[in-house]
Formats: sequence, structure tokens, C-alpha cells
Amino acid sequence: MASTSSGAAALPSSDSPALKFKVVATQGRARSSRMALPHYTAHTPMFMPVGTQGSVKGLTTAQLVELDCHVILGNTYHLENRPGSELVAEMGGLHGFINWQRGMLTDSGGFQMVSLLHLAEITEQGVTFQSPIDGSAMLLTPEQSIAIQNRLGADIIMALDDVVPTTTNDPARFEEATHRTTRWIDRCISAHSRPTEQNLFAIVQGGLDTRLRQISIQQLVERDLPGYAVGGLAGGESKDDFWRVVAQCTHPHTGLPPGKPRYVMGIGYPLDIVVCSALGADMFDSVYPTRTARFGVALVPEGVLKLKNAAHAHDFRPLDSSCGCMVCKNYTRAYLHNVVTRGISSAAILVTYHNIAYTQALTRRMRAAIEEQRFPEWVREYLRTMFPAGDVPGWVRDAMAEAGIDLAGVATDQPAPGAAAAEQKVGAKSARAEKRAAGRARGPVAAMEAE
Amino acid sequence: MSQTPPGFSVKARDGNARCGTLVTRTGSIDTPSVLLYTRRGGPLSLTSPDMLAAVTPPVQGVQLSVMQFMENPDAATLRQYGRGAQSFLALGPYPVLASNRDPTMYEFGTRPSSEKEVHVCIHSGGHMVGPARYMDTVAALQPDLFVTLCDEITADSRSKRIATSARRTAAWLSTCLELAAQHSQPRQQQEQQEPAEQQKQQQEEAGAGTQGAAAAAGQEGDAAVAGPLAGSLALAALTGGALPAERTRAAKAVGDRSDVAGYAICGLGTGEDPAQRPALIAASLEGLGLAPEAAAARVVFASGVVGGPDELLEAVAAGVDLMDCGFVAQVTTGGYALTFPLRPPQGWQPGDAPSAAGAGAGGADVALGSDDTKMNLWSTAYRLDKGPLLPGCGCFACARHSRAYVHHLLNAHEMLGEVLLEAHNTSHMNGFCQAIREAIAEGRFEQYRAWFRSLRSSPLVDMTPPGLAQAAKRRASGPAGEDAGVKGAEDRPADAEAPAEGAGSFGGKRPAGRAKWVRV
Ligand SMILES: [Zn+2]
Ligand SMILES: [Zn+2]
Repeated sequence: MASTSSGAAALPSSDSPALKFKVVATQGRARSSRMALPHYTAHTPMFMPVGTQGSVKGLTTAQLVELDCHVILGNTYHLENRPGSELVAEMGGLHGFINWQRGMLTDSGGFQMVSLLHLAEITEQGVTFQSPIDGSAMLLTPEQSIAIQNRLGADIIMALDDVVPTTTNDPARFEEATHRTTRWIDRCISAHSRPTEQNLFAIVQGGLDTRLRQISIQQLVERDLPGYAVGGLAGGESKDDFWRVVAQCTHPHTGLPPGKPRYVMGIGYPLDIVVCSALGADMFDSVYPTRTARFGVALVPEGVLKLKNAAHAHDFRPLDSSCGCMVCKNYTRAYLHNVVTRGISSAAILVTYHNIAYTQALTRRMRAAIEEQRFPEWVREYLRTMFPAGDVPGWVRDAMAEAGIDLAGVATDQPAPGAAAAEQKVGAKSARAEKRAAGRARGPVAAMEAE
Repeated sequence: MSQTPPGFSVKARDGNARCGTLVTRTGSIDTPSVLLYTRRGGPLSLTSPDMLAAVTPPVQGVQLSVMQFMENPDAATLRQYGRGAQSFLALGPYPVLASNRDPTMYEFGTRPSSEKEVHVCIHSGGHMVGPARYMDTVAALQPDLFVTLCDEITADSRSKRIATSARRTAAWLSTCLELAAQHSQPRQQQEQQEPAEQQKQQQEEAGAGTQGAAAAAGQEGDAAVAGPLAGSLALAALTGGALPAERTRAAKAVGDRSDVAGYAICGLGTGEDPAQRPALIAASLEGLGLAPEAAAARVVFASGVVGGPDELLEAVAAGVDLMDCGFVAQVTTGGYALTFPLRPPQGWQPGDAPSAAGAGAGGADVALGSDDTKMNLWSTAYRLDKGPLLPGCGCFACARHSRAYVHHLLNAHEMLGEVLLEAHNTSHMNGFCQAIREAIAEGRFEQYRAWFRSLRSSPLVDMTPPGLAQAAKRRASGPAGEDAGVKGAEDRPADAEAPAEGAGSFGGKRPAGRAKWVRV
């Protein structure tokens, strides 16, 4: 099952009650797969836009279909606050409520609490937090999280895990969190009432400690879940630490099972998506493409385009000449420059639309490249466009070496010192910080952040 | 392109109401019609062209304000682009009417206008705009129809100010038409763009402007190309405040002109009693002194006359053919879905008991501003309502989504809520206009009007939530809009409505069965 050979018969796959995963092509560590979910067969590697409160920032579900989105996210914490999971259940689950016929994934709600609420605290029971309604002490247990997610009815539901920011300097806390995450997965499994309709994914913890990560992988894999996520990343760790954790969790022999989907949480920078895919990850999510759009930043093959920049006032080119999306076919940078952050919703939606078109085209191209056995060439071309001077960051070079992708002729110059410094920076936690970081677009955004 | 030359023709009339066809160089508009409202050329929430194409009955035309193109972008930028507003704004196949104001705000009067210029407040601050700058911008926009420059005044203006407005507007009309004629002349290729500007741009950013250049290159075979306003229809601005006699006098000063395709009745929706409007419209039209055949060939556009369906109907009854649709922007921003019925029941006769009022209005919460023409989706009454916004409506929103979902989206301040409401409300207004056209064509407009009036015991006068008008004025009075950022629905004027549960805050009583967090 854990074969990495390219022989069709030997390609990894798995068959869970509500999820059939089948790798259809591999090249090096990268894989292109089909993941049959109750509502849709998703193609991976895939990016999943975040629809925090039951909509993806102004886009209609018809547009999300047009944009080739296979799975979208909902945030349990927000949805439980309003409209409430019982109401959603009454309205036919999230799918029925928002009228989305394809795949959905909900998070556990725990991360949202830890990141959004100041007084959240994790105990063995669960996550205690102060009610945003009346300030009273509230508790989210693994059982509660699963019950809510069972009512929301997404195709994939996430276990409540004990998340510790990777930047925490407390080895004992990581040790505790790793083992607690395992204890909680057992509680999640017992609480899960719809295992034939919804897939519970476990989340690997362990911070930056390879020993703890390995323990977490081993303990969670023993539970034989339909899929696994890599958690605790995109929270401010260095890019070097980030890719090494992903590489460990996606390792062909000692990592997560090759026959099951691997989801790296909170990843939305295109470069990160490419690196993680090269290392063998399958699923990604982030608010980055949609949030940065509302600040007037468009994703393009060269990196990002800051539409507010005065240079675009007379620039009559599309956002991205290689993009065939509705926005790039019809609009110029000059038009969007004037209106994108000026309170005209339609303009913000246009850039959001393009950014999702960009992430979906990116993953589609990666899948095709893997299936056509030209993925290393594709990666080289991608990096050449983004780093025309050859100053590919060191961490990308190291990660590609691990992935077995030769960057000769691409990473020619020294890594740009400025770029390297920027990339090592901590992730943006607030919208304001995100705005500042938008131009760099190569650092992490906090995982599972809601919009 | 149509074989028929641009112009207007009346197909049928019923009283002063008429239905007709306005042929423009882009396409034709069936009248009476509302034109899609845009701000800085963009629909508020509907993305173009995909979501505009989803509107049914189809969008007839798009209205934009010339003043919003005085800066960012300005005429020079648009000229450099070269293909006009319809392409720059991706407004699809719809004819574009460039008017002198935004019907949802009042941009004038912060500083006095002069004999030569009006003062206008837009997103980038105040500008003095005279006929030359105005027509330069109109030419750069290349609209299918345009309103000439008007010295706008509010309804409370006194006779002396009205007379000044009339004098200036009439003088500017002649200047605007002369300039329009110049902008219509065939011109040499190189005159299409300002050479110095073009060169500078090319130096600055290689590759920029390629689309405009390509468009120009496509026409290079001709020694001369049509001017940007060739075939564009001029609508003469008619002013006159809220005094019928002054309106008549102002219209007389304009009169019958063969070089205009029609008239724009200006200055309405600026504080006058809506009940007074039909008389003001009539006064303007009478003052023109058009012979019947001339009147039948001139289209009448009025801005600011639609504060609700009744007002639209009264404007049509007074002889208006084209109206703005700022009303949709206002109801959408307030979280309303239009629900008034579009057609009388089969065999309805005057004196019949009123038919069921707006389908969505059953149990309408009057405190929330719902009435028998619209429902407020902020109301918690729709929390669990699986029905469409309006049963029987085939619009994009009603075909796909429930009231409960729209209610949730508003509560959650999600932009999609307004997208869906704008889609429905735009479709509904287009359906209303279609029903009115049918009624006029079939000679039963008066009956239709009587039926529509019978739907309510007392006519609805002002359905614009008072806060909205204030908010619009505030927006217009300063560059606040510029700094508003994309707050999406969070930008909602807090004073516009007082939705239940404090507009999605956590405050107040929470219906049972909401959050299920475990209390410890
Ligand atoms: Zn695009
Ligand atoms: Zn509808």
C-alpha cells in the first residue's frame, strides 16, 4: 500500500466508509489523486477556499463551481455562533443551507477559539473560553465539536486538537499537547455519529519537535482514520521549520500513509502550496487568497500585484495575462486600481474571483504535470517566473532537494537576503498585519483563520 | 449593430404613458425601463458581466454618472484606454446612459456653481466642471446616450436661483451640443489620443495600453475613424426646481431641438413631495411645446423619480420612458427584497377586492420597514424560512437560495447577502417594467395602475428609509467614500435600519437553539 513506484497497479489507495482515495499518478513525492467524498469526487492537490460563515466572500456557489472549487470550508466556531448548527441541520445541513452540491470541510472550532478569544484555555476536558455573548465561561469538548460538525454535515470534519503555537518555547507543553491530541482523537471517534457519511480527519501535532511529530503520526495512524492533517503550522514558525515538518509528515516511509489524503492546514500562499505538493501533500486551505483580494492584492505567476499601486492607474493589461478567468477576460488593472478598496463590493468580488481562479488553476496545472510526468519541469518553470533573477529562497531550495526536484538553472543567484528575511518572519495574525504582509506573500498565514 | 439609426419611437400609448423602442448604437432598449444603477461605473454587488447576464428579465441599459469620471479615472485615462466605458467597465452588451448625477447622492451645492461651471463633490473631492470638461469626459466614456450638463438645484430652491439654473442649463446645452458635434466628427487616427500623454505612458510602462493600441490598430485601415460620440444620443437637461411654472419656463428655453434625441428631467428626488412629481414632470414636458410627432420621437429620461414602485408607475403615467434604478441600491442596502406583485389576477376589474398583496408580506414586520411592496430580510421571522425571497420568482437568487440563507448572510455581514438581494431586486424591477410595457401595449395601463393602487389602502409615499438619504448626502458631501475601504456589508449605514437582534451582534435575546456551547 505504501508503494511509491509509478506502476499503476502499485499506486496507493484507501477505501473508507465515506471516502475513497486513489492516487492516480506520482512523480517523486508529488501525487495526483482522486478523493471520492459523499458529495463530490475531489481532485488533489487541491486548494479549498474558506467560506467561514457559509459563503466565500461575495462569490455565489454557481461562481464557485465555475471556478472549479471541489471542496470549500466552513468554520465551526462561527457557524455555531450564527446561525447555529441546529438551524443548519434543520435547513438540510450546510450543503442545503448554502446550496453547495460539492465537497465541504468543517474545522473543529478549537483553533478559532484559541486564536480569536483572549481567554481561551485548554484543559483535559476541552477548550474553555469566555462567551462572546455574555462573558460567561464556556467549554468546547471533543464530543461537542464533533456533535456540532455532525449537525453541519460536511464531508470532512476535523478532530478537536490541542494546538500550541509553534513559536511557544515550552517543550513540556508540546509533549502534553501531542498526547492530549491523541486522547482527544479517541473521544472524537467515539462521539462521531455519522461515520458512513462524514470523514473524521485526525490532526498531527508535535510542534517543531521531530520526535513528538513522529509519536503523533504513529499514534494517529494507529486509529486508521480516512485522512490526516498536519496541524500547528502556519502560525509564525520559520519557513525552514515549516517545510521540514511537512516533509516529515509526508515522508514516503515514515510519514502519514501514502494511501490516505494529507491535508496541510492554513496554507494559502501559492509558493507554499507548490512546495507542500512537491513534498506529497494533497489538500490546503487559507483565507489568504480571498482576504488579500479585499485589500486589492491579486495573485499572479510573478507573485502578487498590488492594485492600489499608482503604476496601475494607466495599466490596461488584465490582472494576469495567462489567466482565462472572467475577470482577466474583461477587466484591466486600471479599472480595478480605482475601485478595488473603495467600498464597491463588486470590485472586491472581482479580485476575489480572480484569486480563487488563480489557486484553482495552479493546483489544476500541478495535477496535470504530475499525471503527465513533467512535474519537476513545471516546478522549475514556476520558480523561474516567480524568481526571474534566480534568487529562489533557501528554504525552497532545501525543500525541493528533499522532494528530489533539481533546481539547476533556476536557483542560480544567491537567495535574496531581503526576501529570506521576510520569509522567515512570523505569520500575520490580524487582518492589519496581513495587509502589511500581503505584498510579501511568501510567509505563512495563521492556520484555519476565519474570514 | 442594428440597421435602424439610433433614435426613439413610440409603439403604443395609453394616456400620457407610452411604450417604445430606443435604438442606440449598441443595442435597443424597450421602454418604459429602469437602467441599472452603478457607482463609479460598477454595479454595487453584482459582478459584470456574469451576474448581470443572470438578471431576468434582462438588463435593458446601464446608467453611470459622468461626474464620477472626473478623476480616478479621468477623461485622459479613458481616452488612452480608447474603447469607452462599456468596455472599460465590462458592462456587457447593454447600452450605457451617462447622466450628470448619481441618483443615490446629491453631489452639488457644497460650493456655489458659477456661470461657467458646477461644483460637484465626488469620491476624490470637489471639482468645478464646465461644459468643456464635462463633454470631454462624456466623449471619453463613449456612452450610447448622455445627459447634457445641468446646473442642479434642490427642490427647496427659490425662483431666483431656479431662473439662474435654467439660464445656465440652457446655455450649457448649446455648448454641450456643439462640443458633442465636434466629438462626433471623424478624426485622424493620431488625434484619437493625446500624443504627448501617450508617449509618456509608453515610456513609463512598456506593455501598458496594449489593448487600447490594439483597438486603434484594428481601425488603422481607415484614414479617419468615427468620433467617439458619433451616433451617441444627447438628452437635453431640463431644470426648474419644484415650481411647475419655473419648470415650464425652463423647458421653453430649451424647446424642440432636432439635435437632441430626448430630454432628461433633472432636479427631482431632491426633497420635493413625491406626490408633486407628476405635475413637475408634466410641467417640464408641456413647456417644451413639442408637436405630437416630435414628442413621439423624443425619449424622456428622469433621474431621482423612483422611490418605490408607485412612484415609478406615476412617472410612467406622466410620460417618462427611462428611469434610474437607485431605488434598488437603496432597498438592497437596507436588506430588503422587493415582493410587490407584478400582474393583476386574471380578469381583475376596478372595484374588485384587493388581491393578495406582496407575496412575501404575510406577517410583514412593519417595525422593520417591511410593507406590501418589500420584506426586510433582517427580520428574525425568516430565520428558518426555506422559501425563496419571492415565491414564483425565477431570478438567480430565488432559483437557488432561501430567505433563511439571505437572513443569515445579512446577519453575518457577508457580501453575498447583498449580491443575492441585488440580483432579485434588479430582476424584480425589470419584471415590473416589462409588465408595465405589456399593459401599455395592450391599452390597459390605466387599469393596471388602478389595480396597483388598490393593493394598498393608502398609497406609499416615501419608502426610502430616512437614514439612507442622510447617509447618501453624507457620502456625497465629502470624500468619505474614498476611505471607506472594503468593509463590505459592515459598511452598512448603522442608522439606516434598526434590525432585530442588533444587526447580528451577539447582544439581545438569543432564540433558543442557537449556539450550543456547553456552559460551565
Ligand atoms: Zn484571472
Ligand atoms: Zn427573485
